[in-house]
Amino acid sequence: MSENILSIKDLVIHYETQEEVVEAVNKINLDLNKGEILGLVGETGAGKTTTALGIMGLLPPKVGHVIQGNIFLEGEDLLKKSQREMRSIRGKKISMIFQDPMTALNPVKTVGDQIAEVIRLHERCSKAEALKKAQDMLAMVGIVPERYKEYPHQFSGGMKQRIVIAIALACEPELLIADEPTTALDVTIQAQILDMMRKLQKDKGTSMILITHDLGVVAEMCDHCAVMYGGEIVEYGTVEQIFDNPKHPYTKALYRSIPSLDQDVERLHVIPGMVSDPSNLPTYCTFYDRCEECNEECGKHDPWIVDIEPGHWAKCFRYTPEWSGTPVADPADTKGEGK
Amino acid sequence: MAKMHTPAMEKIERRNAKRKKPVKSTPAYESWKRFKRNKTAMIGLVVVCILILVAILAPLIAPYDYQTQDYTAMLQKPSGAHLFGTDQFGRDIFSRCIYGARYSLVIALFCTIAALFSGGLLGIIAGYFGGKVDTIIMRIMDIFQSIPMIMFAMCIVAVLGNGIPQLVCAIMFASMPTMARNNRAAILRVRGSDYIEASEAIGVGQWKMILKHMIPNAAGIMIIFFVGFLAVSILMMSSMSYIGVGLAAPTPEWGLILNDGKAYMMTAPFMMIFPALMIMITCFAFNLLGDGLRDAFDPKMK
Amino acid sequence: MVKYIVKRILLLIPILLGVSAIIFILKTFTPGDPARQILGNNATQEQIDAKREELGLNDPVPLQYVRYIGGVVTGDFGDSYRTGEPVLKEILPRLGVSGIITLGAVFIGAVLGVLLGILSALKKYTWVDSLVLVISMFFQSVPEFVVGLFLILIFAVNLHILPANGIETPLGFIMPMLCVGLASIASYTRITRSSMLEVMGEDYIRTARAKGQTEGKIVYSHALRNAIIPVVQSIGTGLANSIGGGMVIETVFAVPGVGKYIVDSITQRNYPSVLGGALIIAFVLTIINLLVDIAFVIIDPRLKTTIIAGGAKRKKAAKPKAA
Repeated sequence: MSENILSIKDLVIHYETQEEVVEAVNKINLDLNKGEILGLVGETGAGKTTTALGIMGLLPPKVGHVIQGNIFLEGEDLLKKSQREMRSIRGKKISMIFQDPMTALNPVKTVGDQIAEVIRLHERCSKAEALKKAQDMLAMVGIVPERYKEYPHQFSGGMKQRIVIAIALACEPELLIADEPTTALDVTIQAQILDMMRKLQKDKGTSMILITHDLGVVAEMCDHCAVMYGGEIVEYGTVEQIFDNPKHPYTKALYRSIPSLDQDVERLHVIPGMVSDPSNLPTYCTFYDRCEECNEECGKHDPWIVDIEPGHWAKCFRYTPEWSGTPVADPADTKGEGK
Repeated sequence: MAKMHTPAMEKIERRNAKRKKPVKSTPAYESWKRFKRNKTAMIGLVVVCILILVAILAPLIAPYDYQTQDYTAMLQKPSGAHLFGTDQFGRDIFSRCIYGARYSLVIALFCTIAALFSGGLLGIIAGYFGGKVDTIIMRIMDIFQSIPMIMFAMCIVAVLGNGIPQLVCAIMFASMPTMARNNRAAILRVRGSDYIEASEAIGVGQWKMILKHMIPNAAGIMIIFFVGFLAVSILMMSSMSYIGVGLAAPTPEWGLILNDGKAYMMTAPFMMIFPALMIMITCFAFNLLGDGLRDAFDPKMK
Repeated sequence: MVKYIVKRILLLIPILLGVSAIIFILKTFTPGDPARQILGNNATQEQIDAKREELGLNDPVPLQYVRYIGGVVTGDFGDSYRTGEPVLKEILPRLGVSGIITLGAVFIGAVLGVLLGILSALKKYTWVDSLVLVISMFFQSVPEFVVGLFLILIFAVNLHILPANGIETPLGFIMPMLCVGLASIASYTRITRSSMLEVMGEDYIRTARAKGQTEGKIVYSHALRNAIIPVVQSIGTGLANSIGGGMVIETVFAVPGVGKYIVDSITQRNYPSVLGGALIIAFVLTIINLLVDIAFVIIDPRLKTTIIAGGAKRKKAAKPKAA
């Protein structure tokens, strides 16, 4: 346990509005070791970003609520911290890189000022020193330091993301949350940014949560991988375990939907059906309606976490000793009702 | 049916249980639902309705004729016989204010319709055709706009003379640039949207496009302008009448009643308070209504 | 930047020509004979004819207009029919008075409006929000002169702390400024509120929060500078309304400003004065709008590149430099 930098226990996050309650994150458990990269994979709406915002304490006020659970950062529960304490943690101990670099920077402030801002907030130093350090940070992410006087619109998308990374790393945080850091960028730039992030992460020994829907990125970057579906983590393990030996039907389906270079396929595999409505989740397995390997039991109870091998678990009945049913080939036949 | 039950969920479920079956949801119905929830807007609507009733039923409500002079009862304080008091000619201020509603509302309505037809039409043409037409119209409007609205209106009244048609004409010309600009923006917003491009792509005719697609979609915004301008024209009208370039006495317009009371401000302040209140209540109601409509038609604009 | 300013100044010329043309057309439609007006009812027909000839009233209208414009360029706005003094000489000393009132009013309106707008955006959908809405809308719904009358009743008639009219003491400016300023609060409040709400939802505000910045500093140093842009843009229109409001208010408070001068001239059908006054006001307004646009470029660095590059005004954010 002492090695864990971050440990999430039974975290439940809901968005509550006048009309409905959206169950964005449901009882997730996560551990992150020091200096490691954890990949958080899942499709849009799986609750990845919500989890990240929950850790940062930046859930939209009045709407986003942590219903239960704990988030321990180095043994201290972040959810018990006051606003003031959280402010001194954000930017210093935990930083976050957001999805869209185009909008993440303030258009009316110079990039130097924006990097210096986080330094001045968390380190005792003068404005000049902070600006000096901001220039060092720019150099570190591969931007000419002299450009610190320029405004965000004078940089390209990839450069902006470098600046966002510079802001996130300026105070040498212990934990970095990168929320789809390359989704908004060109494919060629993606690789550059990822390489740079990996290098910086190794140099500084930062622990990192990498949120993505790109399995290739996970394979490239991460040590551990957690697959999210419907606000739950359905499978967790090391990258090798997940990639070589995927267990949860959703993970398997994900792999099948990746285009392969060496096989010529007419159509990519598609996971049938739609993601369950997060404002009306079923009490049984969330993936039941789309699963190709389920039996009747799955439609009655919520599955529990089953250990597959050390450090590798899946949230699926299939791996319980009691599993008996034969997998149904075509789910549409047995579950005739509405898809 | 959920992984976890929270108090917030139960609250919503309880409310949903009470609700009747969902009615079919059209954009207009959704707007009305949003409007109904807005308390201040509903107050505005009710007050406007009352004012309209007062204007229609003025002869029944007003206890006296608005221009009958009674030299036995001059400058009387508000009392049972004269609710708002009397002026220097012994005319009943309450009756004058009631008839004033008639004049103010009708003139404001004419002004607004005129403004919408002149400026609004120019704006719609500029917005729809774009290009040179747009440039020419909007440059001319720029020129008009560099003269303050009320000053322009006063100049026109000075030329044409005091009177209702002259006033309507003055306010129409003065408001033309603002109206044109607003309507052009509304049309441009609709014009830029994807469904217009889509219908253009499938070859919908020009007039059909304007009538069937653009006007219904811009209608919400235009109604907002309409209601808002009613208040503006009442304000302008009363200001102009007050300084003597607007309507001519003895029209019981609120600004003119105030003008009558000016000389007696120290001794008979009630002569000014009541007509001023009438202007205030009317414009306030129109503004509340307009604001509510803005929220109802376009929740994003708030 | 210089090129842009020069271009904008050149654009003033057609606008001023247009304004003078509009008012000149109005003048030619005016019933009544200015010559008779100047000379009074006792004048003989010969005297009037001579005066008409002297004023050039018998010439075709376009010629009269060209002559007038020629005069304006050399600073001659014609002579007042009533006093016989040059219009410019009568208006110039009044310009300062009106300027103080208008600027004071815009200042009061913009500062109060922006503060109220921020307040209601930060407390959105609470009773504070509704209260701000009702207050600002109240002042929007009351004509300036009614506010003026009530202020006079309270502060001059009952409390005797401010003068009811005139500007013999600087205190005389307070009430006129307040009247015009309060009326403009609503529009500033509304613009600030909606722009503030939009900006507070932007990603860079979330970035600032992720840095651990305090809410107060986020509002002040990140949001406000972005949210203020549409407010600055609207000051141009606000100014025009405030000048218009000022005209009425100067009459109510008997303040010797341009507004009162024009209103008096209108009632006296003293057209050279009206024309001159309107032209000068249009001139001042356009210059101020130009200044507002320049201020706008300073606030929003994205525009600087667009404009210096010679692009059209406010097209869209400049394209980023190649990486």
